[in-house]
Amino acid sequence: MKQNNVPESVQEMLWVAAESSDAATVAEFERRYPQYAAELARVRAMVEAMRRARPAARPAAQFYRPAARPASAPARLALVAGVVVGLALVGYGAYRITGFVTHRDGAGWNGTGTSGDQTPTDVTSGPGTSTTPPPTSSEPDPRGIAERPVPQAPRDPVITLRGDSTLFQAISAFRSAGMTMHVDPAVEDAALGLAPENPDAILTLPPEEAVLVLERLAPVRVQEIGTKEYLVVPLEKVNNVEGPQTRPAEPSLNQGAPG
Amino acid sequence: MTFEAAQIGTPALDDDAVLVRRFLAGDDSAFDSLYERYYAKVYALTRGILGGNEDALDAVQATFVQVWKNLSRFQHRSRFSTWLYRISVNTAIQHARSVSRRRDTEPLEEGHIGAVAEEQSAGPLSERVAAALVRLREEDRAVLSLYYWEEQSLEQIAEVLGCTANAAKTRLYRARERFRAAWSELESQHETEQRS
Repeated sequence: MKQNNVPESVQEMLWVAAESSDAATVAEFERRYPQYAAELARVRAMVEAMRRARPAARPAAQFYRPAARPASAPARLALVAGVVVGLALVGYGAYRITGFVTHRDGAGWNGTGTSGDQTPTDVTSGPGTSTTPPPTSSEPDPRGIAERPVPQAPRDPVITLRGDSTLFQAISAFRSAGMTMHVDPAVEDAALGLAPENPDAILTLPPEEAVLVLERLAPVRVQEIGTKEYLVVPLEKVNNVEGPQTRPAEPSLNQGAPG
Repeated sequence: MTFEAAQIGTPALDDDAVLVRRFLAGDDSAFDSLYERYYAKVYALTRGILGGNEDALDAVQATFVQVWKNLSRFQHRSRFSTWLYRISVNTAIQHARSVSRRRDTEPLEEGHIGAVAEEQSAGPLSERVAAALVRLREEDRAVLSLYYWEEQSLEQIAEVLGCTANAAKTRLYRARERFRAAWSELESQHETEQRS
């Protein structure tokens, strides 16, 4: 960089004079610093050249507008709020799904844990008290992992009845617990009257006991015709039909029957 | 003020503010007015920083796209032109750096600076001014363009550069001195060439 010989104290005045369009200012500088008059002339020429070198005003080129108009500040705010709410919903949904899956896993394997030294493969023989129906191997894996074996229920199913359950609701409860129920068309619905004063009461029974309750409280016979398979027939049919598959009538009901 | 600058004039603050509000209210033609009003100024400033005409055209387009996208953020705390110049300077400097990086990775063409100066000399920039500007940093060119071409005050330059007026004064002083040194060097070269 070429050094100029103008002292620092004079530099500022030199620039003022060089950039000034006032002839008096220039003359004053030349009068006070005649030894720098040549430098002033050079700087003035440079400043003039710089000013003249401003690129000419061109006709405005075509402005290529972005496709989307920019959103206003409130719209952006609403967009951000929407994204936040959406993320929160997704997070909550993931939390709920994870909880559901964890719960299902926990139910199956906890049952295994309560059965002591049983392994997941022989859990079907263990006792249980859960009111949830046992998942079968045909149930789809909720996580979509087909290879993973679905643990079977460690306990026998139980039938859940409400205090105000009717006969048909009870039959549905059997089905919900994994039983196959064949119901004679002549069977009519009837209130069981388990606990009419407390309709919200929940009664859980093993299937065998539930069968006895149904037969005691409704005019039906419930016959076990296979593994987890039952036939429900009206009481009067049982009394009129003789056959090997019919259960012997209750002694109290047959007391008046002809021998 | 140059003749061109005088012809373009400096629009009143209210005019710009009205156009900005009209655009934000959905009137696209208001942006066209701002574009036409400021295109020449932004072009001059950008070309002063970048030198080359093609690069300047690209950067001017990028500047107005930025303005288009961000006009809703303009708070009217400064003049619209100051805000626009700030975007223009930043865009041009970024553009210059990306061009410089691109050229660093490409094989260096012989006499590249001379080529730029020649391109500039084809336009309204005088050859020696162009050659002197090319030797400066982009920040120096920005200050000089704002001061000599856009005739911005030190306070306005400070706003554009995001610094205090004193810092702007110091930057201007240093940029002028570097320009002067480059100018003198070119002058010496020219004299040497003439003698030989």
